Amino acid sequence: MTDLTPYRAGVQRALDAVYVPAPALPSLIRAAVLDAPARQRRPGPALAAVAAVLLAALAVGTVVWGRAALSRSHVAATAPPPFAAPGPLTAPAAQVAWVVGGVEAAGIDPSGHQVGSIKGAFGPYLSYRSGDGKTVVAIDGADIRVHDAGSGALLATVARPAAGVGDAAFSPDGRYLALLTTDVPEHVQLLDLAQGKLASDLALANASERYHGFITFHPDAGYPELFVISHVASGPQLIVLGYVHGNLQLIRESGISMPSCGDPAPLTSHMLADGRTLAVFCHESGQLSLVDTQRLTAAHVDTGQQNPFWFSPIYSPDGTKLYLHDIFSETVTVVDLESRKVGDPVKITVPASLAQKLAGWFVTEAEAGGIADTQPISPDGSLLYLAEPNGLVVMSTRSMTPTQVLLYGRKVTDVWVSGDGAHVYALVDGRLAILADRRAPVEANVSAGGFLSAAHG
Amino acid sequence: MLATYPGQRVHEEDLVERARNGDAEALVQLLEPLAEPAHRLATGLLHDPWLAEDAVQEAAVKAWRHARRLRPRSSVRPWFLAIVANQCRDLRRRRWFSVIRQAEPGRQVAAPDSDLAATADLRRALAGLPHQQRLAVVLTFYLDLPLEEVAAVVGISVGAARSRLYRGLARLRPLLEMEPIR
Repeated sequence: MTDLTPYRAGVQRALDAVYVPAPALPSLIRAAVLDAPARQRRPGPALAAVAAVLLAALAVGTVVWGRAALSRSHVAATAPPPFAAPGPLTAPAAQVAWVVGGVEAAGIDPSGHQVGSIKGAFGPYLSYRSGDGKTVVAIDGADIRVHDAGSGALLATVARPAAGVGDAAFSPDGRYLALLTTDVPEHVQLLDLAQGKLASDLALANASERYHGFITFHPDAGYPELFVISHVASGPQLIVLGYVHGNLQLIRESGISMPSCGDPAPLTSHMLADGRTLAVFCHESGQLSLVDTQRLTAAHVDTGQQNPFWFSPIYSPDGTKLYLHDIFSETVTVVDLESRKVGDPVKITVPASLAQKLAGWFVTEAEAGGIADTQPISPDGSLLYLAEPNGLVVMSTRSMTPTQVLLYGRKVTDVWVSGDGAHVYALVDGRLAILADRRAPVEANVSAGGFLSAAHG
Repeated sequence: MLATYPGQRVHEEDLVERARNGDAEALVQLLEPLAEPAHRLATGLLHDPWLAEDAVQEAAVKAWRHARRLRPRSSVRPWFLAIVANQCRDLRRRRWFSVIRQAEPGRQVAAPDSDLAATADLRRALAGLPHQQRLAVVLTFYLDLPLEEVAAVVGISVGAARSRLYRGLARLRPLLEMEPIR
């Protein structure tokens, strides 16, 4: 008789490597069964005959796609493929930084030359730049103007919605700009930037309360879905919309069990590598919600933020890690988004060779906290660029130790990394410095208060 | 697990009867303790714990729809595990699942650790087994079920279950570097 013990051990080792316990599964089973409509029970013989007639009638009828036909769904008919990180952006336009000063933004190339300027009202926390780095938009008066990020040239003008714009997001291919309006009920408007026109307008139901919402696209252009989280401050509602050929359609929606996030407190999100879980960070509470966009459920992770707005979230491009930079305690906390584990805060320890230069390292002035304009990480995810009151710390994500301290002694407030990762733009004492490997910093002659970027911190 | 001593057995029979008559709460009480083995089974068949969660939930809904098929005084575990296994087989047939599986070799390249690579090879070999052989291997070695219950889940005789198990192991043997099965 063969001893099967080694087989058992081998199979268990192979499968344990992919097994992750699901402690919430019993309650999900409960919800799935109790939420299942009673009609889903297999009908008795008499009912079956009636059902057969009804089904036959339905088969020859016209299916009307509309709001009433939609229902909550625990599992989508099809699921998205895993999400691949986009990698470096090599287009020249993606290397140009757009810095905001007052009601104007200036485009600065890596040599410090100004390539163009655009006028517009650039409020905080909106996405004004496409993910491919090629397009920036200005929202001003009655218009939304679309500009080439490489030159500032005007590409298209689209009418702005009469109501205010609460949040905005670019589609991953840069073709569409989705706006979440602030009227009641709130609308999602999809602007076709290639054609310069409104492609679709969809009113969201149940928006009787004051606006506070959030919108983002699935990062895979081949999976045309966008996500709205409305009523963030009261009872969060997740709405999943499709946008095939620019036509917005409601796919599924559900209230989600997610801690409310105070108002105003913009959320910062990133799609995880599985292509279906949206990590959503609330700056006020420090809660990280992992929202399953297929099953419409959410799990929550307490990141240990001590005070509102102290953590500045930076997602790894591949969607596996979240780095929480806290300038007040000079730490970075790493969250493994796959295992959902929060690491201990890593002190930004400075090598002895740099210690002498950093005598004034600690923050001495009162700071209220805030939200960074950008996600300051290299395109390959290997380096964090941490804006500190006394310099720019370059930190390796592999060793979680600083590798360089740049602009020592100067107050760095924001950092933008060029699309290919070769240049780092830093706001220093309200001015712009451009850094590159093995090259002295170039300072551009512009006053700057922030960056236009595809994703804020 | 329910039905481990006489008092519980009576309780399970009562719940089965209520579930058969449309009591959703009774079915939930029967299924909740099975969440962990069902999730292990689904992970063993799909190699994706998140997808496995979905499969178990869908299986629970199907169990609710077909609760009348639950036989009085029968054990719920093999019945529900069979539904989970069928749900996993349906999921694997979908096109997007093959997309996910095709992505796996790329992840191997990124993780050159030899043990990781060996376990990944074994998972790939498992995934390549016919459904009943794979199911027999996972039920026996990952859920530690007795052969009688394996047979009940697969829906075949005990002898046939043993045959499926040994055929599956014979195909895995080169990867496990073991002696031939006699």
